[in-house]
Amino acid sequence: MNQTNCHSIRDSLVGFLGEEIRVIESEDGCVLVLPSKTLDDRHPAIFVDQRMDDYFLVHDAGKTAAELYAQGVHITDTREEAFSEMAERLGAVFSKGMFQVGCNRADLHQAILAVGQCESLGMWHILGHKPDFSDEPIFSRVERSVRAWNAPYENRVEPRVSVQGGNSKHVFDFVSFPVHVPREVIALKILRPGDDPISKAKEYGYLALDIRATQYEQWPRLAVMTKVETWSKNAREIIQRLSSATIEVETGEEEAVETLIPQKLDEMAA
Amino acid sequence: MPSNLFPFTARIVSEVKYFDISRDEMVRQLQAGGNVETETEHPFVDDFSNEFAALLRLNISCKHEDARGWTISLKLHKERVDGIDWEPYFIDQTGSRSFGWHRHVWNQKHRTAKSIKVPVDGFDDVRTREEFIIRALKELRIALSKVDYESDKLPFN
Repeated sequence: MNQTNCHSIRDSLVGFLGEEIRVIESEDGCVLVLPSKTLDDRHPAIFVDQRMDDYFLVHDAGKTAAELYAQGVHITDTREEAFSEMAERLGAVFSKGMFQVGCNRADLHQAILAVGQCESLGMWHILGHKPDFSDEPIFSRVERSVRAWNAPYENRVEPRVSVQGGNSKHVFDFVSFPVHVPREVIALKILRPGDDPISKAKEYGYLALDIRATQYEQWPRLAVMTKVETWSKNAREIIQRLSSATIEVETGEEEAVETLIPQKLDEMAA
Repeated sequence: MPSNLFPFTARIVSEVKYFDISRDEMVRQLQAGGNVETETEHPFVDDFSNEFAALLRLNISCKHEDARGWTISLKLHKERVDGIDWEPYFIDQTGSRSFGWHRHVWNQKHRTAKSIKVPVDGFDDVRTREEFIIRALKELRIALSKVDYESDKLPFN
């Protein structure tokens, strides 16, 4: 290829970049959009905030980390470390979830390109992400294990059994009814900590108090507590006091209910 | 229950999903750490009245003060099936060039919500995390708990 051709390619590339680099102005500063693509088919957006006369903060507004998070990739300590190392090599920093560079006007171009490169490279984590089909509701796991329980007598399991208390209706997630044998009915309640575990424990306490003096009080109760590490000691004690037995499952250990429930039901039916 | 619930995504997206967390608690978590992750078991029925439950996660990220860096996504099987974010430039669902706030729409054929982007109105003047949550949750048909327990919490609980 002769020199003239090389220069014309360079000139046309410069022209292309000139046309394709877009800018959006706002009260806070500008956003530059580069024509390259990230791995999730976006264009890197670089935010330039003028903080002083000759001082700029160039950053990604946390978009790289936020897009990864939105698409199922969490920023773990290892990933954060990798981001920091990558940013450092490219002349930026990764801090507070953002790629950023503080610079003066003379270094602005380098800073913009550095953040743009961090945004493009940062999305490589998305390549390893796959849907997780083992991610199953606890209700389904509990249902499977209750139905798989080999009771020492003939029984029938029913889901979402509604019972009338003194003041309100309550729902047990599963109830095992003995068939043709004078054995106890066993009720099972799944307790999730929600926003505030103590209030969940109190709700359960209300159920227990409200069914007093009804036939349902006689049903032994098995409470399955999920995310047990988030329950306070008080909340756990309330549930333990008001249940015949409890199963406490930590986050990520939900599979364990499938062995624990049949064991606990065996003990309760013994 | 089938392990792959993606065939029900359109139904789940169109229904109201309830998450047991208050809006105030979300705002507190966003102000403290920039992210919120919460989950729910969403019950639904198929066309034959079979009952199912889907484990759904809601992720919100609002790290920087600039709202244009904020994202919200609803996930099934840890994969985004619905969401809202901002891009300075993108190709919308009609193939036209567009810009700004948009919703990620689930594509059942390609099993992703990455590529179909539909512009959404009402986000350009969002300035606070609370405004973002209110508008985004309405768009995504997500309901939250009305009860904020923070004020009820006592020491040693």
